[in-house]
Amino acid sequence: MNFGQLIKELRIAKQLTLRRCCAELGVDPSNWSKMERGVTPPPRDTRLLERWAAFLGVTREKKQDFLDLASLARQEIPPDMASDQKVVAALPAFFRAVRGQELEGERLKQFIEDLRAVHSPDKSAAL
Amino acid sequence: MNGKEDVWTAVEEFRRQYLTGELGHLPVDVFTLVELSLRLDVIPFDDLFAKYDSDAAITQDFTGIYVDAEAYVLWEKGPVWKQNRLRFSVAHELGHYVLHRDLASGLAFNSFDEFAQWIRRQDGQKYALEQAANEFAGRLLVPPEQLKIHFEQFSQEFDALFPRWRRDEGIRRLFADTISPKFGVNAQVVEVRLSAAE
Repeated sequence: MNFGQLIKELRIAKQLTLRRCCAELGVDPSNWSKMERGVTPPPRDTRLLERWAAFLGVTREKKQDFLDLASLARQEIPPDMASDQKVVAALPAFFRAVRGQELEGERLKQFIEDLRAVHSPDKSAAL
Repeated sequence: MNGKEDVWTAVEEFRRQYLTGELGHLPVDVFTLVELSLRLDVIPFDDLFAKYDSDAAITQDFTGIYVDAEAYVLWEKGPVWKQNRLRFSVAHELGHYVLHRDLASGLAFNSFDEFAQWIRRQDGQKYALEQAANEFAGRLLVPPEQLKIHFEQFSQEFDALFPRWRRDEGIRRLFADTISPKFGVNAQVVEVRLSAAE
């Protein structure tokens, strides 16, 4: 299990939705979501990580594992924008525009670039 | 594919499986359902609605749902109509999740061009898929038994005063406006459910 999977498991075990968890911790849901999905690495700040671990119910015995997984994730997650292959895999299965305006031309291109951002590390991640 | 009765059966099976205990209350808590029961990733997408007129979209591997970041984050603080719209949109995507996972695996996009072609398609199949997901969402969020109870209570009050009120669009709208908050949907959804029940 990697760090992102771990924090998702711990959050679900506490019966917290992403929004609720982020509100309690004072973090941005987009950034937390990227961390859970292994897109953005966790922060280096050990005290912050320890605070998250305590909030998520990590026991004293498991705290070092939590910090080690965070450290490993920082080494493994590339800082690059998502590749085309990754963005294609993340395309929506369906797309319903409320006002019936379909995605075409430049709008479609922009949508794909915005989707790429959703699957790319946030360089200004302010966790 | 996915006639109304098939959709209704799927909704009731889904309700029996997932909407129990706390989740059995109305309005349906779609995010607890999606995130904690189904364990799907909710993926905030900046300006999804402002730029693309969409509140939610399920990923093609069916492991996550994109949601308009602002509407999601401000869920409890924003206007009720926006909250209701997002609730319906997420329920619509759940409809795709329940009804169309098998079909979509055959439609999987391998390139942006394939996605663009699908987006441009205006045929009966695509329309039917969207209609089925809408029907799923409406039926899930507005359970017919609950709608009937509210409708009968309302009828008792109005039958004596206006025997022909059922044909009166204004009074039907009043009914929809009055009870839609119980289901956490906008009034148009209740009107559609009322027509479906008749």
